[in-house]
Amino acid sequence: MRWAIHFGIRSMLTQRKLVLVLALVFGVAAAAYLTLVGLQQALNEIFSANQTEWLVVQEPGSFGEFYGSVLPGEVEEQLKALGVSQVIPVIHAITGTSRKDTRLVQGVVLSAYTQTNTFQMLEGRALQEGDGLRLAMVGWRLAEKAAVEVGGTLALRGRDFEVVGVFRSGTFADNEAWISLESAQQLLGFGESVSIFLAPDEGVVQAGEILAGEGERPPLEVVRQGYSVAGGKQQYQPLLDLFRAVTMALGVGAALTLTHVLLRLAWMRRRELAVLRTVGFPTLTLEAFLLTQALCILALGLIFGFACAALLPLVAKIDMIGVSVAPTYSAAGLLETLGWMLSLVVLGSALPAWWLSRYNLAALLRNE
Amino acid sequence: MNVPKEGDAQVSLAERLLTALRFLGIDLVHSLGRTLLAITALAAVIASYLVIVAGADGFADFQPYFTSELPNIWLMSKDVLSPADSSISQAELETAARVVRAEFGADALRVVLPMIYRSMHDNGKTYALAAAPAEDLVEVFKFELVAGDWPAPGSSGKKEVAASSTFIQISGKQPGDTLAIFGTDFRIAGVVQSSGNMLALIWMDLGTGQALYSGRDDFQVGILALAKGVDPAAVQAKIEGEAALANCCSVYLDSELNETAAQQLATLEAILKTFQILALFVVTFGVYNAANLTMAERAHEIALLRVAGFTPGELQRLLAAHFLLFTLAAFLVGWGAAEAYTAWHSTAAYIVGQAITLKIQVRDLLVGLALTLGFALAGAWLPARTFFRRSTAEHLREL
Repeated sequence: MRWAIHFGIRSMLTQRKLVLVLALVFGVAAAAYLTLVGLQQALNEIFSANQTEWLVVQEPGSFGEFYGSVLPGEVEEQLKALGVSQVIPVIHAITGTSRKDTRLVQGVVLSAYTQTNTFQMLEGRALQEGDGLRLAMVGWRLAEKAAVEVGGTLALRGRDFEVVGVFRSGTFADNEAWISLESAQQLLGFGESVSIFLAPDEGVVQAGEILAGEGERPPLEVVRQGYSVAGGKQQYQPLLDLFRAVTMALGVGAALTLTHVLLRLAWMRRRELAVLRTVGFPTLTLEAFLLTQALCILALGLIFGFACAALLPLVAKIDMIGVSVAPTYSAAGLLETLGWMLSLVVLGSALPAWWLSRYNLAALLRNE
Repeated sequence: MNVPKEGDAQVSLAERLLTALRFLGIDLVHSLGRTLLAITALAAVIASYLVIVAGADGFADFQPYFTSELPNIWLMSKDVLSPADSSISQAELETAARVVRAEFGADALRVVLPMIYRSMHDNGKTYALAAAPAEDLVEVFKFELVAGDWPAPGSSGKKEVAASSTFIQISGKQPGDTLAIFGTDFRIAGVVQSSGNMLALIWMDLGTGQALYSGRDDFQVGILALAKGVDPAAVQAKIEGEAALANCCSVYLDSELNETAAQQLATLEAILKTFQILALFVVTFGVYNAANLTMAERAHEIALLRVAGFTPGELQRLLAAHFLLFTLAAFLVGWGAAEAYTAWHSTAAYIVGQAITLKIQVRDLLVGLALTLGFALAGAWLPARTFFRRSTAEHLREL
């Protein structure tokens, strides 16, 4: 077996350029797969939401925790009239006129927002009752994207806000700037209106329920907190499905190229392989010969692929509607990529092994 | 078989090439299995390339705002990115119209159109929802009825809507079907389409829309349809300079809005372009490998052809022709696979009611073919260049 491995490596060294180029093909396939896994993981992280006992009352058809819902302030009293014990108004909107200055804004009731949001301060302090209208706390993803620190200013809709703190919630809110509700109403021209109302899940209104407009009350939709965030992620999913199909095709292309190359390399070395068989080496010699070459190519390919994947976040970064999604690499992602590439290698070397095993190499040698 | 002899004046170049092609043909048939394998490998990569290009085309067509032959001015809340976050009052729209008429003449505006412009979900998909007066919508955006009837006006009390052809295509609903919008059942009265947009859209009369929103009298956008010959940039500047609208509203040309929306997708296009380039390089690598192996395996035959009078240039051209044919075959298979994929999975994404569809255009095919052949040629040329640097004698000595 050791001889077969040695022979496999020696055989490859005679075709160094070929092996290098084949490793590049594998590198592209590995980089594509790793990027795909990284993007999926980033989407899962960015578009995550806390599972809470709060329900969201929003304008039907909107992604109220994101944008697109405007409800009159009177809805608060109308909900209380229905029997809802606590109603907390919140504003969610997207501001900006270009991709670079797009910001997600959340207007919060300073006395109540800690009840409905879980977060930890990374720097500075949280907003508190009595704070001025031009103060903001920002999620770490936004702080990174806008390059702002505590004490600095963040422009929202042309107005400067002093950043008092940077927080991490581990949810979609890490992309947002939080300001007081009154400040958001002024900033966005909402008047007395808000985007959504949060209500405890106490059975008065149910998630999935639509309350048709009645009298002065506009139509309302009740969803569980995090519904809009999941909807946002859903919009990206078909795109990832497209990338997945492309990545799979590139992988299949790489595996078939490997099959083709290994087959021809082995065919070119059939005399030597036949000699080994004739002097008593087992049939496994052929498999070891092929697998050695395939694994060497894979190892080289992974080096290229991971190097390429390290550079890809520079271009493979989706920045859309105020949310930046760059591939996130993790040990699990690397292992998954390794597993995918190994399966390609096994597939790529199995066919040549089967094909060549049909020939009696020693008999072939005698014929030649 | 008449084998050409070196120095034979009677043997033309065409005859020699035909002989060589016959040799390659026999060689291809002899190793049909591995040729098919190499073609399939290359076809998978070419299919990836074509699918990515189709996706990029789909994103390039992203136009979530209505356009028309003549430019329109859109009035929206100040600095909001999505019309769904905008709220414009009738008074603000009338102020803008008055300013324009005062400066550019009473006939400067064809139509002043208030529009409720929101979104709705149905079966997990998001669609645009618009409410505007029918006659104005037809006048400005050339909406045409392609099936059924126009929806009844709001004053009739009937709950009717029209759906765009794209909505019908995506949702599978038909005229006459019932659609629940915000807890109220509406009948799809007809199907409309406009050359200026491909949105998956539900449209209803403005009165119906206001009733749906419990009598709210604000709307999301005010559209000022300009008459022919009126300078849109000058109108935009004039409204922007109006003090009464300075704090409430932003003024856009419809083309600007679509550009801004497309800009949001710029990073997606960058990714798709990166993958396109990677796929083309993989084509080069694939052909390089195949050409390299062919020359290593066929060194004997190539040396014999050299002895028979073929120059390195002729052999290189022959090799290039061989791999161009090979790539062409892979391209045809890859194209077929890409068409099958786009037929099965025709939508790349739904963004604010617009389906980003995958469709391989003729232009994509031609550009793709040219690029693929170009990259394949590079893949064949590189190993050939190295191979023919050595003399025939050196090649023969190795045999």
